[in-house]
Amino acid sequence: MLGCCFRRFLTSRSAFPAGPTWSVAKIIPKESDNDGLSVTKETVEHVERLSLLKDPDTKLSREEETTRIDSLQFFVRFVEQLKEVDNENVEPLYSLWQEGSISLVGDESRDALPLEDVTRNSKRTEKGYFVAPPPTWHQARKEKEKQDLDVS
Amino acid sequence: MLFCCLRFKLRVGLQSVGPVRRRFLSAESTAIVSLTLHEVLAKLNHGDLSAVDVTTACLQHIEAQKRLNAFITVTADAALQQARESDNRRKQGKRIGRLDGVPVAAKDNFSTKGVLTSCGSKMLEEYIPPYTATVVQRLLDEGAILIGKTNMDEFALGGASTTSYYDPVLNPWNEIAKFVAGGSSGGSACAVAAHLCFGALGSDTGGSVRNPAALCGVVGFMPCYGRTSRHGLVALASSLDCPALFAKSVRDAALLADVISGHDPLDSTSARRPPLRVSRILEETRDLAKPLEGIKIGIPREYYIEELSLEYLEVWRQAADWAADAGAEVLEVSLPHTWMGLPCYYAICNAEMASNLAKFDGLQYGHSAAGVDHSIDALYGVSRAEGFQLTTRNRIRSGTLFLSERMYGEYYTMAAKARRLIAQDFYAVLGNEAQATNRKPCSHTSSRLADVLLYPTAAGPALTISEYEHGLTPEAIASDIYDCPVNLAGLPAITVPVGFAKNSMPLGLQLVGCRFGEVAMTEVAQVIENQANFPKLTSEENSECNKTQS
Repeated sequence: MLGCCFRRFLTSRSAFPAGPTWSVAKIIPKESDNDGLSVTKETVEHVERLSLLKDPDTKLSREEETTRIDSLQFFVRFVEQLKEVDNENVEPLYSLWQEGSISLVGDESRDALPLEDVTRNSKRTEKGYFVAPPPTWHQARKEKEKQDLDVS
Repeated sequence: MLFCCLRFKLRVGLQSVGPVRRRFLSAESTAIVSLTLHEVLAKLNHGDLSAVDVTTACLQHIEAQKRLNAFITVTADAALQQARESDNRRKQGKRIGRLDGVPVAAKDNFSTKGVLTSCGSKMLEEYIPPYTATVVQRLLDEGAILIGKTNMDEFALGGASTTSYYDPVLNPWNEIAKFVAGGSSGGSACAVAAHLCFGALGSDTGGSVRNPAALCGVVGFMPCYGRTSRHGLVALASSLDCPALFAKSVRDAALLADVISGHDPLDSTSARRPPLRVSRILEETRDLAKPLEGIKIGIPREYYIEELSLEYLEVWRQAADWAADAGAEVLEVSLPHTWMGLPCYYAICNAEMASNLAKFDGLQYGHSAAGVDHSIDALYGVSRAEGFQLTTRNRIRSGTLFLSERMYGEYYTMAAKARRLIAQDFYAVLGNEAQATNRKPCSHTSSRLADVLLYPTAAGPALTISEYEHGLTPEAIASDIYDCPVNLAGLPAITVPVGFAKNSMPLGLQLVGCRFGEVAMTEVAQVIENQANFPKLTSEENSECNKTQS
């Protein structure tokens, strides 16, 4: 019994550090951190064009712009801390399978979902096709054609 | 298989199960739902209960506890039909599945044919998939009854299930004070903890099963990446997502894991490995005097952080003692790149997520902005602005930034290199992978310092909704440290409830195995579970809580 208690005492003492080894607060970005990439209005506009999370014809209000800059800056500052580590000779790990073999299927046709199942969840279909509005450049071209006609 | 879908808010369908007493249900009904999965299976197989009895009892409890917001959809009619079919199979002596007649639930990001699959988002509030996810189908093929789809953070983004379009999930241990259930699979965790079903599916990308399991006091089992098929799981981060599960006990979790695991040719990232057979190993080792003889358990020093609550430190040490008493050798190990887990996770998860959520454009499925017909960019932009909530949009924007041409090499590649370092830390301690998956852990070799790691599942117990805020407080971020690195390395983990904090909310500890090393971690989990003897939530407790607050 005593031996058992003593072994338990040793377990908790020897396997655990004497105290906390670090603090997560140290890696949480603070607003005062000014090193690294600064997210600007141009960055936000670029990201908005790429991610299409708003009507492209609508300009952001000053408040929306500031909120987006702050949010992006937070994540950028968080990730930038990885620059502190020497990783010159480290191969990136994009997928756990990149060094193994992934199972592939043969290039042969298989049973597919019926067309009506595929299109059932769309509100924009016509005769089995998804119907999309014209691309943005299409409208711009039409307007230019109209302008050219007016000039001529 | 076509299901009837009933929205949880419609009482009409639920009336078909008989009269429901709002708060005080019959002792018989409560006794049924309080059983574990194995206990109810035994009663079903012995003829003491019918599947219709069990399903009816669950439906009554779901209705009585709808304030928890655990479910988005309750498939009452379909569940009762499945229950009748299960009873018929038993009566006619036909083949009985391993889960025949047992009600289970699935997180609402698993596709279910004919049943709403919303991912907790307005973007998919009307989406009815034309097919069923593989892991769900495997449960159904073994006779399980799908009782409903559970609530979650929008598109599985979040650590508290507070960002759902369908209101936050509340922790059943104290929903009056509005404690969070953890996230993002909070609905599934809550459903199992509150005895609304006997097991539930969740998805774990950065702790989204283990975190709510710890906060709700249930077992959370995450197989290693590739062990369970992602076919039919609405993808968040394709290299991190792992279909996982909740259960009332380690034994229940092992059975569910055996059923849902195994190679799936429909998922190219599915490992070419057979299904798990953890249940059998647990049976063999259950009654041994020293079941952990020969197992080395590592205590990673970097997981003792300043933000870790003292209660967690206490139960962590206690569990190490229990493991030692069961024959394990407990030793300190080091994972020096642990701190990189969060920045790395945010970069990779946000980037992969931005890519995966690009498919929601208002055209093929999902929310489509009304009356926006002049340009496709406008259709995409307005549909996505209306369909996604702010937290989701913020994460998509940052992920888009990391993937943009000017930043890809600097940020995304840098994060991928960090991922390599984090994974190598784990492999240096645990070895690269288990050679055999279905027997006792490999004998200790010089290339492996430990067979299993033991550490807390979170930094502290559940917070209230107002304390949690948007999950970017130091307390919430500290909890992420305990979960994210394991996903980056693709390792399996299991969390078991071990005690209570001062605020009376549960605490959970997790065991982490090597790649394909689910057996060893589950054996250790079983020992800790037996020693902890964590009490199940009773509906009387729930009712008492209501009485004192009303």
